[in-house]
Amino acid sequence: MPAPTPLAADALYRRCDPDGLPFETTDEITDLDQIIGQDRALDALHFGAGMSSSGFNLFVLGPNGIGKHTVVRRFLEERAAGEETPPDWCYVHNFEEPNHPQLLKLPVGSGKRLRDDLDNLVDELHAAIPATFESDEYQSRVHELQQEFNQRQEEAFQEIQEEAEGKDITLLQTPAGFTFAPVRDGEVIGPEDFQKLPEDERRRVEADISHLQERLQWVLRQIPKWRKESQEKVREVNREMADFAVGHLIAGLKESYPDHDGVRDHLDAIQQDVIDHVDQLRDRHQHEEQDDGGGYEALLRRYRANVVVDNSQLEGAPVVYADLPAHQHLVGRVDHRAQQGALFTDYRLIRAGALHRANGGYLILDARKVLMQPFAWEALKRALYAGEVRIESLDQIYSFLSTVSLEPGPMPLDVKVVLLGDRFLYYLLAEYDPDFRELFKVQADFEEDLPRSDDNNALYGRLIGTLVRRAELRPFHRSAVARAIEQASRAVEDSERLSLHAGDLADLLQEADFWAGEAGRERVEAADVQKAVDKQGYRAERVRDRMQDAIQRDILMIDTGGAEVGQINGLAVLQMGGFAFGRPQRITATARLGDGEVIDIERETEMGGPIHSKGVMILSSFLGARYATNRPLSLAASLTFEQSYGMVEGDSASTAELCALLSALAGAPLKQSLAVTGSVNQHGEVQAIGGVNEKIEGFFDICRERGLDGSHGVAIPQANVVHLMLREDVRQAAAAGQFAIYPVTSVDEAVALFTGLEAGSRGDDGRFPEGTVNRRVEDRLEELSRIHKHERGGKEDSGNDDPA
Amino acid sequence: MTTPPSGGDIRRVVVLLDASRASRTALVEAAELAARSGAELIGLFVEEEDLLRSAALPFARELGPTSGALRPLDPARIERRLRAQARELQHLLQGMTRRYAITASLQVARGRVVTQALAYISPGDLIVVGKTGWSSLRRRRLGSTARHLIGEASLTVMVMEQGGGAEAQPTMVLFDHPEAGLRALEMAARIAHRDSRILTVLLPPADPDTLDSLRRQAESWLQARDLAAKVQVLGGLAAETVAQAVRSGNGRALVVSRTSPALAGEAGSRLIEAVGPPVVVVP
Repeated sequence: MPAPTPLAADALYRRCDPDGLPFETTDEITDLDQIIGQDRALDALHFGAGMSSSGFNLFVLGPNGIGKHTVVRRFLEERAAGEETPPDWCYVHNFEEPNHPQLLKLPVGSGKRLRDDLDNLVDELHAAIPATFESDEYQSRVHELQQEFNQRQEEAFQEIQEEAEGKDITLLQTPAGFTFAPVRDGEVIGPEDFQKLPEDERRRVEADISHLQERLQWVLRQIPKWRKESQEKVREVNREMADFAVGHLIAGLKESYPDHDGVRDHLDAIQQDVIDHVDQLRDRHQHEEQDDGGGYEALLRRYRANVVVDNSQLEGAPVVYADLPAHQHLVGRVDHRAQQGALFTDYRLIRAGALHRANGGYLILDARKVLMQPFAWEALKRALYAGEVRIESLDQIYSFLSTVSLEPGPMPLDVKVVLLGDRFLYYLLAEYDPDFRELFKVQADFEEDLPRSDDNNALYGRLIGTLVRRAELRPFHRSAVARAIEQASRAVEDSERLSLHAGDLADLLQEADFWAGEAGRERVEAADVQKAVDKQGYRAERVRDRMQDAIQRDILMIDTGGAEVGQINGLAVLQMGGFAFGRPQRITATARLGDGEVIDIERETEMGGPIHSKGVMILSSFLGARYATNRPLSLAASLTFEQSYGMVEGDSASTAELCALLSALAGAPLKQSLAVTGSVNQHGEVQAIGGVNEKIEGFFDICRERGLDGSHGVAIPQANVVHLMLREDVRQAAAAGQFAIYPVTSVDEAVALFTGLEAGSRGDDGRFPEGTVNRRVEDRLEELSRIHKHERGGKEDSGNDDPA
Repeated sequence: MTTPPSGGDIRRVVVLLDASRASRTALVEAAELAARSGAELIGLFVEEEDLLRSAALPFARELGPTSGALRPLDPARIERRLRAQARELQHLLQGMTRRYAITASLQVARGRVVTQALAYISPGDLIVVGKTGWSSLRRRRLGSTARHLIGEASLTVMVMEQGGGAEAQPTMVLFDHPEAGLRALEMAARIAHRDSRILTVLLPPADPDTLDSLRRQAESWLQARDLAAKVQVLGGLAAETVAQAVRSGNGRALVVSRTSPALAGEAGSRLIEAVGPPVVVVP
């Protein structure tokens, strides 16, 4: 099998030709009026938003920064604009059950009107009630009643007094009441004189007094009854006057709400309440001070309206985004007012939540935020299940002690909830929350990239133009746009695709604009985009630079020249925050006589992840399958990442590990000027890996520092060639023949490349040709096997011979 | 105030007291009046002989005004209660002494109220008396004590039902005779509130000349003392007309001369009955 040939320079990068873009600068192109590359998600949105059945709420999946929010919002706003504007809602006092404020549904715009009308009504009551009760008519009617009562009482006394006088008896006042006493010549008779009276006389006096006492007693007992009757009459007059004062106001209002039964009923209730509370209302000074609910102001306050949802400014259905979806922000809350250390509330302190405001339209929520706010997720589900939103504080729901508070009537809910979140959250919820799939039946999955084509490049150019204008940046020259498109390919590590990550793209454009400004340019050129890319890297590269430095100083040992047995340069990718970089990693292998085990030192020390272990197991099984089908693999091999002190995960080093192991077995030195990446399967085929660009650049940087001489290069899986979007300096070195990228499909190709020897295929005799690497491996394994057999046999013999 | 009203200063304010709440209100009012006019305050508590006698009768019963309950009555209990009341009143008066910085004392007498009051009072005293006694029973008729005292030619009598009004309310005076009217005006100026001293002069209906002369007389008297007053002509001197004028003028007291035609005969009683605020009758 021939050693692989280096890739041509143009295979290392897919340029975007600025001349292929149909504009000079982004000023010439119109804004993108469509959402590109998200057909599947848009289709799901269209379906989800259009389905009116309950449970067809949406979950929009995709990584952060992909532009889910913008896309969803734009889609929904366009859709909502054509829909009917939902009604206004307001809370009013419930006169029958004061703790359950009543919810009134009103046509759009009528909420405010009702509130203003009721405010006016209250103002008018302020004037009308005192005026009515200060009127001469009222005063004289009440005065009459008072007189009537007094007269009745007085007449009764007068009668008794007259009767007493007629019988020579007087009514005297005692310290605590009254007493009757007989009088002679204007003076009360003393006991001695009384005794002197004739028997008949005495008896008569006593009888008279007893009779008068009874009569006075009767009168005294009637007084409360008379007073009550009199008061009842006064109250009746009060009612009549109140009815007169408020009746025409209410009637006028009712006329202006002909079709609103709810409002009309409420107005009737207000009228009845005014009549019932007229005593408190007519004398405001007397009741003003008590503000505990019985005061004058407090009474009038109950006639107002609290518009919780006012859609009068809205055109179409609402699209609400709740950026802090805490429990009370979702379902609303009831505020309290502190008064002299005590808390009070009433229907006017009811505050709507996002669900109320979005009712009849769409509510956009970030799934992560909803889940992170205590009780918010449960409250949201509860509202969606019940089809109504109930304002309840967490205190009411969860507290051990419950205080009397408001329980506002629930609002019937007709809302489409759109949750935005990353895929991980979606799958977790789908797995662990049985309610989730019942309530969020539609998933809108966002693509992260789109195929690269001339048409898509042009669309992407318009996307860039749109973002540039939206952020008010300098116009981008088409060369800059082309460079940004190339960078979008690099971002998805695929020369054939473009990243749809609008957040990162917007960041890049803004940074490029900054550097163009620094350079004093009126428009953004390719160089500015390049500078933005470089600077992004530079700002994040401190750790990478320290590692490169350590390698240059041979603290981290990486050879870039010569050849060694059982030692190879693997390539690792380190991800630090949003920045990834590659670095070479020395991998060594040793082989000796053993029982067929390949020891993965990383795994033994618990520094290797499961995927890495899997890769090592695959290569050990490859060894056995290829070289030792007929006999036991009598080998003990060890593999390790030298100077690696952290976790190793992934199988992208398995090709390198296999090469090192084969080198150790064959005693064939490997070129240290090369590095390799790729995973391997049981048949020895090299498979694709991730981070190919970073890996190549990581090795290139070391080699360039030490001086490129044409021997340096990196072997990569053939399947990764389409992912190449390499840095310009790498491409230049490749074009100059100083650095080579070798695509490999099998481990044999890699071995041939690294050893400079033929790998060898089995001939007709079933053997690998003499002198090939494979032959040397096979021979060595045979030898080990023989030794092993011999050893074992010898041991068994000696065991048998042992007299003991 | 520049010139004090001349002559006829109030020497003592004598208030007829019993144990009722109304009489305590009257006491406060009287104390204020005494303080305002620099007079001595005397509380006169008469233990009614009639009452003691009647309590000694074997069949004597007391009838509770509110409950209507009948209770046995015996002289010892009445005596005890009267003494207790006297002590309470004594205590109350001491309080007044401190509060208003006046000389105050309690006189306890035994006999009939009118007799004792007349025996005690001398000219220059102002006697404060309840309209119907201090009974808690509502009776429109003027009580016999008040009626008797008003009838005494040489006394200044204040008949009151409830407490006096706020200080911003005017003191009203019926000015219907050149001489008697001046005496009434003088008294009104004296009892009007020290700071505000708001007066309303009520003139009787008369022919223009008489009216004009009365008005000028009142005004010059007021001018001489640097006092301001509202002058109002009444529609008549009938009890209800005067009472209505006091009501609509929001008066805090009405001062009227005993010789005024408005007080003549039964009409006089009716006037005092009809007017809500205290009525002061001057000799």
